[in-house]
Amino acid sequence: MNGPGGSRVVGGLGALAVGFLALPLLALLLRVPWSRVGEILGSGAAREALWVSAQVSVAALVLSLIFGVPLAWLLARFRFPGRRVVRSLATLPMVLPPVVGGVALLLAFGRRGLVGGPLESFAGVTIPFTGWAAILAATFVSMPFLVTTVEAGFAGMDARLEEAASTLGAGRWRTFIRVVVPMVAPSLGAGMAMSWARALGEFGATITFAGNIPGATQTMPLAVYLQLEQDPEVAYLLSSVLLAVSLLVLGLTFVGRSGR
Amino acid sequence: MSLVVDIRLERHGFDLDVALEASAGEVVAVAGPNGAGKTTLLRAVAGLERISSGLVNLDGRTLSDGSSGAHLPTEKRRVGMVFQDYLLFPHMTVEANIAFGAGAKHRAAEWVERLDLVELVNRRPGELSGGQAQRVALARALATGPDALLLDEPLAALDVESRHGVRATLAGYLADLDIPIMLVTHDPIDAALLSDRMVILEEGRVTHEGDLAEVTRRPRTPWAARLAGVNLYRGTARGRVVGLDGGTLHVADEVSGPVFAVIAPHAVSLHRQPPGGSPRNSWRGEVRSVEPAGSRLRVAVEGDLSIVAEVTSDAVTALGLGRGGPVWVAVKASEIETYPA
Repeated sequence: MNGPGGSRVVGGLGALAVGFLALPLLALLLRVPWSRVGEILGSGAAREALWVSAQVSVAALVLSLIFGVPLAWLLARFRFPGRRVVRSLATLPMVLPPVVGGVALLLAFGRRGLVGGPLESFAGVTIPFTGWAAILAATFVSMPFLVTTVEAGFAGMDARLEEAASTLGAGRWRTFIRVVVPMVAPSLGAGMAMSWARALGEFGATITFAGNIPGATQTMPLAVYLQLEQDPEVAYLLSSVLLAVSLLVLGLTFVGRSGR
Repeated sequence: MSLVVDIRLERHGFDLDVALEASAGEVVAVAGPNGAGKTTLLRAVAGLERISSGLVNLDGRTLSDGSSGAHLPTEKRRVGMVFQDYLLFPHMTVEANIAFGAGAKHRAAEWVERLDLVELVNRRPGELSGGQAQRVALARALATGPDALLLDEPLAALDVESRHGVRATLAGYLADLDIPIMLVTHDPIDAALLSDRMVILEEGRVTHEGDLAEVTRRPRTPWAARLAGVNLYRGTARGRVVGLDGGTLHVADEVSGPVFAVIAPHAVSLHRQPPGGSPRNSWRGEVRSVEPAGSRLRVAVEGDLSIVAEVTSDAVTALGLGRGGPVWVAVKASEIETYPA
C-alpha cells in the first residue's frame, strides 16, 4: 500500500467492516418493543427460558471448572505422550459445527448410544432430551474456552513458585489456592466469562441432543428461535437481553485483562 | 542436631555423588564452577529432586533414603530454602509473603523485626531492591521455624555495588542462626566470607574441604587452582623429574608416583631468547593474552606446557609482549611445589 490512495482504500474497507458488524446490532436494538418489556419478561415462557438458561449455563460452567482446570493444568505442566492429541481434542469443539457436536453427543449418550445404552439398561438413567442433556451440550461446546485460556495462564506462571511454596511447608492444596489460583486469576476470570457466555448462547448441540422442551431444555436461544415464528417482538427482546449479557462479559474480561 | 547428606543421583547423563555434613549453627558453603551439581545437591536436600541412592538425614529424621526409596515430601521436611532469584510471591505483600509458610503467622512479626523489614511490610515484591528481596526471602524461610536452611547462590542476583553490603549483612544474620546452614555459590569470595567451612564441588564430586586457606594451599583441580591463582599440573614423578603430557619438569625434591606440581605465576620468567644460566626448566611458547593483575601483568603463554606468568609492566614493555609472538618460559626447579595426587 503506497500513498494516500492506498490508505484510503484500507480505511474504507475497515469502515465497511465496522458497519457490517454494528448494523445488525443497531437494527435489533431499534426493534426492541420497549412498551412491552415488563409484560414479555414477566410472561411464563420468557421467565422459564431465562431460568433454564441460567441453570444450564451455570451448571456447564461448574462442570467446565471441575474438569477443565485440571485438564488445563495437565496440558500446561506435564509433557506426556499424546499431549498434542489431547490439546487438539480440547480445542476441537471451538471449530466443530455445534450441530455435529449434538449428533455426536446423541451417539455417545443417547438411548442407544455407546455409553447411553448401557446407562439406560443397567442404571435406568436417560440423558437425551433432559435438562442434563442441555447441560452436557453446553459443557461440550464451552469447556474449550476455559481450558485454552486457563492453560495459557498456567503456562505463563513460573512453576518454581510452587516449589518455593512447598519449601515453606505448604501442601499441594494450599499452594494451589493461595499461590496458583491468585496468579492465574486474570486468565481464570477471562476463561470463565467466555466459557459461560458460550454456554449461554449454545443452540445447535442443544436442540439436537436435548430438544426444545419448555421449562426443561428450552434455553434462551431456543426460545428466541421459536418466538420468531409466534411473536417476533418477544424474540427481539430476548435477543437484546442476550446481547446485553454478551457486552457485559466482554466488558468484564476487558477489565480483568487491563487490571494486570 | 545436624544435617547429614550422603547421596548419589543421576540426571540427564550427569551424576552427583556427594557426602557432607553441617552441624547446628555451622555454615557450610558448597562452591564450584557452574554445572558442578551444586543446585541439584540443594534441591535433593530440599526434596525437590529424588536421590538414586544414599540418604539425607536431619536431626535423626530420615528425609530421603535411597535404599528404601523413602522420600519425605518437600513440605514436610522443615528445610527452609532461599532461591537464587528469591521467588517471592508477586501477588502478596512482603508481610503476607513472610506469614505464608506453615506456622509462620506467629513468627512473622519477629522476623520482620530481626531482618529490618518493618518499613517494607506493605510493599509488593516488585517494589523491592535485590538486597531487600533477599532479606524478605530469608525472613519468609525462617518464619516457618525450619530445622535447616539452604541458600542457592544468595548473592548472584545482586549488582556489584550492592553485593558487598548485602554479603556483610547476610553473613551477620547467618552467624546468629543455630541450625545447620548450607549455601551454594560459584563465587569463591562469597563462599569464603559467608561460611565457616568450604566444600568444593566439581563435576558432581567433592574435590576439597576446609577453609579458604586450606582449599587454596594445595589445589587439586583446575577450578581450585584458578581460585588459588596458580598453575597446576598433574603427572608422574621419578627422582627429581615429573613427567607431564606436554613435557617434563625438573623439581627440587625427590618424589615418586602420581603428583601435582604447582607453579606460582610470579615465579615464572619470560624471555625473547633461550635463557642461559640456572633455570632447569625452560620451554618455548606463544603469548596468548596480557591482563592486569594488581600492579603487575598476567601473561598467558600457550605451548607444550601452557602457563600463566606474572611479570612487571616494565618487563612487558621491554620484551614487547603486547605484540604477542614466541617467548621462552623459564622456571627454577626450587620454585615448583609438588605433592601426591
